[in-house]
Amino acid sequence: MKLVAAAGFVPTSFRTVPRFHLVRARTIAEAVTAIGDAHEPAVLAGGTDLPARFNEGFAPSDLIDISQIGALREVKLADGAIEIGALVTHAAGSSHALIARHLPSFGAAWRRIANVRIRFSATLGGNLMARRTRYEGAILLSALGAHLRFVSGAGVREIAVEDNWSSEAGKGALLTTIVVPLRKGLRMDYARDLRPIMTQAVAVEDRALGRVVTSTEFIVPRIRALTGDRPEGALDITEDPVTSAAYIRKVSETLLVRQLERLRAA
Amino acid sequence: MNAPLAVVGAQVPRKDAADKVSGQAEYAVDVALPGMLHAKVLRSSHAHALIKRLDVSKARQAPGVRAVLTHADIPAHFIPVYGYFIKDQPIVAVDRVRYVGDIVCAIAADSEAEAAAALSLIEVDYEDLTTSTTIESALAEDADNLFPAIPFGVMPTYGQGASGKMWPQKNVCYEFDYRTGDASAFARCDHVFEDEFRFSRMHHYHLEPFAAVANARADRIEVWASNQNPFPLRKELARIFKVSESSVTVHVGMVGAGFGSKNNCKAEPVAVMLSMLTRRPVRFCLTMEESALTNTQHAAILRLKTGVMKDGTLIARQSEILLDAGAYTDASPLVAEKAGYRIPGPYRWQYVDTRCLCVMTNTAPAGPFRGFGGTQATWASESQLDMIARRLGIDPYDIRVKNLLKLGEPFQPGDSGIDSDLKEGLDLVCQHIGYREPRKPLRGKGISIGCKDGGGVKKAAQARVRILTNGDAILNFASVEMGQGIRTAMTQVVAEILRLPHGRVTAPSINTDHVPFDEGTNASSGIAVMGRAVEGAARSARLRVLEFATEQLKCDIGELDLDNGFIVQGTGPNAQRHPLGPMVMGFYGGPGFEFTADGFYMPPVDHRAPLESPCVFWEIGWGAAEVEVDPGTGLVKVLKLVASGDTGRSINPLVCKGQEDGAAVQGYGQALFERMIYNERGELLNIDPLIYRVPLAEDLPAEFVTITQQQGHGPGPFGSKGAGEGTILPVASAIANAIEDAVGVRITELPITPERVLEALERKAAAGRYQDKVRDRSRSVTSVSPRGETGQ
Amino acid sequence: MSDISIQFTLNGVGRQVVVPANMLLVDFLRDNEQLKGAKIGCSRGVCGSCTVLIDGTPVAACSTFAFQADGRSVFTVEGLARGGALDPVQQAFIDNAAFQCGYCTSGMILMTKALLAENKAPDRATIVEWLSSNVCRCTGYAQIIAAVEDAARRLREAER
Repeated sequence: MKLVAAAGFVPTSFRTVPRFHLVRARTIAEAVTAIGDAHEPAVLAGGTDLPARFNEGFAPSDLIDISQIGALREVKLADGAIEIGALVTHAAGSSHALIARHLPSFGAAWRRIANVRIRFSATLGGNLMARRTRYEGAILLSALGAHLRFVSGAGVREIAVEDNWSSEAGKGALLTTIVVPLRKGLRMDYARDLRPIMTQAVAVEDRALGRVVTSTEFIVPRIRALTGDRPEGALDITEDPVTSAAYIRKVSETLLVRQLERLRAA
Repeated sequence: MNAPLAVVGAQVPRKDAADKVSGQAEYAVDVALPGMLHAKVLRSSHAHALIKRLDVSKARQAPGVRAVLTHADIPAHFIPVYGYFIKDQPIVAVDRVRYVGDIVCAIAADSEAEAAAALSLIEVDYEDLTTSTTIESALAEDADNLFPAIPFGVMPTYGQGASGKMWPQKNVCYEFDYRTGDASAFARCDHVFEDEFRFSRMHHYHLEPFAAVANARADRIEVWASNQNPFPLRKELARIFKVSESSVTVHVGMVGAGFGSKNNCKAEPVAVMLSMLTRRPVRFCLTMEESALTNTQHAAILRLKTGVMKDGTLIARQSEILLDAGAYTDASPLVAEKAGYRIPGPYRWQYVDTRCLCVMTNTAPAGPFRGFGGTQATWASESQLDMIARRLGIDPYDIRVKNLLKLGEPFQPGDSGIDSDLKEGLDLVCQHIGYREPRKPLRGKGISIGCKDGGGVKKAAQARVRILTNGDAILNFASVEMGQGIRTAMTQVVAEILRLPHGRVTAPSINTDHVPFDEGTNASSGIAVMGRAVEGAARSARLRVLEFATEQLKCDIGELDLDNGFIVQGTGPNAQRHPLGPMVMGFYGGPGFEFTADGFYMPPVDHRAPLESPCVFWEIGWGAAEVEVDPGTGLVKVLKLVASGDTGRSINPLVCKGQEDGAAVQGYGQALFERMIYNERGELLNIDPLIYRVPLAEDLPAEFVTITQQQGHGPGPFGSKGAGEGTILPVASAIANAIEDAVGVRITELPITPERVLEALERKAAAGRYQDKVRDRSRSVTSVSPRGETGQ
Repeated sequence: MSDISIQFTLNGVGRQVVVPANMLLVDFLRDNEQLKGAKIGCSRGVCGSCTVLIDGTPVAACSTFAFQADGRSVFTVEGLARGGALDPVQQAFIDNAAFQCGYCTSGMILMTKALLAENKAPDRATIVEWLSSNVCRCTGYAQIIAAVEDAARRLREAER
């Protein structure tokens, strides 16, 4: 429902979706131009997050439909990294041959998020650009040290995925690619049994370096570097409306021990 | 009971099957009338505030807007408030709002988009009052009174031992008291245990929202509603809009679930009022979040003081139950009656003293939710019983068997006898859970018995059966089909009595102008109350046909039977079969005829019964759970859940099983995770459907078994009794009991989150053996920690 | 904002219509085509009551614009029965009483159709995984799972 200044809540639904200017982009360039020109653009990829946004009162001036841009649906190996097009769906990406070959543990985790129906339509790019703390794409990709590539009228820009929460990089730009550098021995474990209370992704590589990413459905994921078995620093969690910080910290440690054991055994 | 039946008890397809699997079933949300307008409402973002200024002038001018409804637009002679016992809820706000989501004003426009846009132009100035979002804060000295002017209300009458009070104190709209026996019983006890339990709040999450289409014309108000009790709704609308009840028509087709929430006024008053202002039909369909803001389950604090002998005999129970009623009274007084009455459970007591208060808070109104006070009561009672058993060193099974009421034994003095063999059901679930098997580490098993009076109180039901020319039958009755299968079960009863295949009996949708009166589809009363009216109507209609046939055949009625559209004269191989159709047309002519008869049932009034009428039947839910606890995270995995109810005699086995499955899963979700989360400002943190978590298929326990017992003692047709609420009752306590069995910790607050379990485990480890040494065997009073978990 | 002309097949029949760009598929189906089988539950795409099939893939019609059907094939629950005879999945739902209030049923049936098109002999875990895309508040899922297993069996037998 939409809060109307001080007056109160107006229950919005898709029936209150305002009229917008529709652009059905056929190329990345067309999309980038339309996004740049729009007063308040919305991008239509899989479209699975848009209803939630409309229900929150979002009223875009332009809807730029990028779903027909084939180039954004590719998964490639390039320069020691896997490049995942922003339009790759959870279903297609998690079962892609390149993911299966180079990052099977990521594929296994990717395959579990959302639900079967949503995975057919929802895209990795849309998942990230929604910037919802209860979506899981950012958790997995932060653990892997991925970065995001944006294209705008001003050129190409890359940021670390964890910077996307607060970055202006996406403003007026189009997310085209998610880049996962393939460090030697990179593999991950995703503990999801306690969702939605918390989840934790642990990624390690051969040089005994890694990352542990801890998240609840209400907070931006907390990332800590891992050296061997030890995370760097305490888990910085102060607020979650439902679960105490003490619990999350304690269980994060317990899960980490189990996850590292599983990663060693694999 | 063992007579062979052809249709009752057979696995016939549901009456609504073809429509529901092909998208043809019509719900209130599907109703569209020519020229129909669309309503949207402005809801308060303040939990408790006076409205100092409400300016809708810009909204009135907005494109597509046909009417704006504020309190000032309501004609002075209308009575624009509604409720059950107490008429306290305004159609739109009068001078204040009482919860986040309370309706301030409404708009009817050509489209929902235009209505929503116009609402954005409304200006409201609020002056905040203190916000009480918990029972404790509402009862505090400095809490502002939600109802400084006491609304009109009517007290019901009670029988032996029961009494009620309206507005006994600030922010308490109702108190129900029940007492039986002698208070000196406590002095005789070897032990007295005091424990506190906390019950959470869910919302019904019926997939079809509240929705109504209203067409108010000069001579008639016509409403299509997603509603469970069309006749009380009709009466309430007539009362509000000051018209004769006979000029109000309520249509109810299929209802997309209710679970209790869809009783009485919800979307209808706003729709009717806007229809009056615009002289057009108006549709008011809520979103899922709005539905959650309209009616919820009662959260509760239950304090039980229970006195027992050291051998486990239950002696005395004194209970204080505080229900969180939300901002409007809705059905809270009724729920208080039932929570208060059911707290003793299915056991024998010498003294029961119960006080149940409905506390008004600045949260969404709480109303009827499957289980209706019995869920809250069972959570506390069956949890405490296990705790007591373990404190005394008695097996939880043994303590129950020792105290269970026997078949036929009155629940309380003056009430009807229990009509299920409680031990038989307990043994059944114990067998299925493998109760006697040795426990594996970190695994445990728990049992529980929920008990509620079923069938409602003094509910009157009527039904009409019409037998057509060739023997087909039409059943006109006002029980609402909202998934529970009532249309199927009742037509099966008629089919059985008329010896028709099920397909030759139909039951049309409800139109209050044409269908006989019924008080409403609630309290699991379908088969045991309406069923008896239906049975009566079918038997009478059959008799009419046979009487007609005796005149045509000039014979004695004792020679005749009605079988599948044939008049059967005589018995055995020489019996003659006369087709009914030609016989009817031979007398009445080409157009044929219909043989019509009514049936009626209402339980008797009896002042010796605490609730003024002996309970129609007892709805029991036996539950057993096996859990595995992860001591590192506190996560509880339910390995197996067994739930069982007793239908007496199942009219339709799969329909009954479906009810037991569904109820058990709702109880299971509440036990482990589902709840509405409020912050101290009265805002719901998880109302968004993206966040509010209900059980999905993947959440089910690895093994989930429901067993429908047919013990045969029911008062309904063919020995039947109601189902649908029994198996929600025991699930949470069975799981909590299993956790104590597994790892020795007791969780007394719902939901049983991993955090609560982990905290309890940590506290237990810290306490170590110290508490074992100092346990006082002569008189124990357990301490209650701030989070509601006991120290032991 | 201008309206858009789209061409698609709906339950096997070719359609050419003009729709507002911001019209949602579920509104188009329910209000323009009078196909009310797809239900509106959560308006978020999570409950699945509005599930329809686009090119065989289950989608939430409340989260899909009508114009996205352009050039594609849309199936609703109304398109299942052939010449009056129910689809085996529909029949399995009836025979297993796999519904109560019926509001989730269209979506459950179409998810089942999509599942069985992809996997003729799904194990229970796969069935549960697919059905977890749709909320049912009434049944507790057990009889729906049984109906899907039953439907799979019938379809395999029909093939022999």
